[in-house]
Amino acid sequence: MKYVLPAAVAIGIGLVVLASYLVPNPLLFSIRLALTDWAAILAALAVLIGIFNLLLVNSRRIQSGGKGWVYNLVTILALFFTLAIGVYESFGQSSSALYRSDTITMALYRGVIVAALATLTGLIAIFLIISAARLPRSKPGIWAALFLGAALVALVGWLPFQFAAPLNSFRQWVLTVPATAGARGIIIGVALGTLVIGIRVLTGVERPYKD
Amino acid sequence: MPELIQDFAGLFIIILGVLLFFVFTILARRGFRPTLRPLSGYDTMHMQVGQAIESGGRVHLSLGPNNIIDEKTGVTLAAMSILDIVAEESIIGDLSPVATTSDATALPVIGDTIRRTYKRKDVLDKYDTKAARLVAFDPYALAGSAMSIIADDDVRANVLVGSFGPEVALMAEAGLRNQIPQTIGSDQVDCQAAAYSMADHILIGEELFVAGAYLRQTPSDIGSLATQDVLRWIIVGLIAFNVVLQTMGLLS
Repeated sequence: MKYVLPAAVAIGIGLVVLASYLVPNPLLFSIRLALTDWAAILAALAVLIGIFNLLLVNSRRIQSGGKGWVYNLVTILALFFTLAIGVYESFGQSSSALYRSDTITMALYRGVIVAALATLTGLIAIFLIISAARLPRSKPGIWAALFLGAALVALVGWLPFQFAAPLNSFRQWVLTVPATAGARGIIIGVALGTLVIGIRVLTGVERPYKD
Repeated sequence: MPELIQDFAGLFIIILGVLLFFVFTILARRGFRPTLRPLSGYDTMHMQVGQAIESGGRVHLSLGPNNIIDEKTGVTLAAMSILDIVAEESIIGDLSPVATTSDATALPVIGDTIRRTYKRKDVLDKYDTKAARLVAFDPYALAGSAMSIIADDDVRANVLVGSFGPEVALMAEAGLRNQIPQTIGSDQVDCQAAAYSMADHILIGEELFVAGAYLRQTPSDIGSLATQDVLRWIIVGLIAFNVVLQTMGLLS
């Protein structure tokens, strides 16, 4: 029973949701909506578990005095500080402090989160250029040469100069023909993989919930 | 009417997939083994985990921003089957693997996957509750946080499998700096350039979904792989047929 019941519930719910997409039936549709609502509620609860996990991991690192424990302390302090400010500013208000422009929560979001994410995004470009430059050494061969060639065409073809005009047309062709074909190939492959995983779950072969 | 045709086509593909899956699984039980093309990401996975453990370290596996409540669930499940294998091979080491995510719904399932592996091998007392970690709520913040985990947590092998975008470059750079072997697999097109230029081994698109067939080789894993392949050839055939019809002017 311990193994059969969870599998029966999972397979049954999976089949009902699948049928609601394929058969236009109002009852199936309303069941799907109810299940989606439950999923949203569970997702909200999962956030609380996530915060607990964050506290647990960081506090244990502080206790052990491992490398960089100060950063763990800052993380926990920032969590409680932001939580306190957010609760205080949202208390008695019709909307959350995060959705109002005149709040400290929003200022923290813009000044810390957005700024930090923008910095990380900027770093990605640097890391990619460095890794592309390292490529002939790390992966010598025809594919690395093609990769670098395509990257150069894409970058130089983007320049708004007259001498780059032929490269621009070539760049356009590379993006619309081989790159798009490759991207569609990846998307079709992922769709098939997802379909097969779905079949494994619906037939009870894949049971991520089994103990 | 076109919607009805789409629904029927969807139903047809699902039924065909189920039939193929059962047929190939039964054939695999009777000894059918398709020839697998080499995939360095899987071919070296055992070695990567083994070397990480031998050097007294652990494996970091990140599932990125994947959750279990939308269309990315398939990728999450595929990544978890890789996590299951990595966790099983890490059991003999002193340190458990560390799995990171930026989605709260994936966290309990990731933790449970590792715990189940330890329970299955009867070493539940070695299970570390810190093995599954929610380190951020945003893919870029996850990448930034995972950089410090890779640098400071005795990580000796880096496996990044999920719906990563270009932010994977941040984690891969941390791995490069620490000179550890890296495998990157993503279903996202915009991750591929970063993965190719920075990782030792890459898993592209559908290759993410065949971990079981390469690493566990159970009949159902072989059945899944063969089903995927046959469905792909059917789609290739349909595309070629469509091209011929269009070239001949029989389709507008």
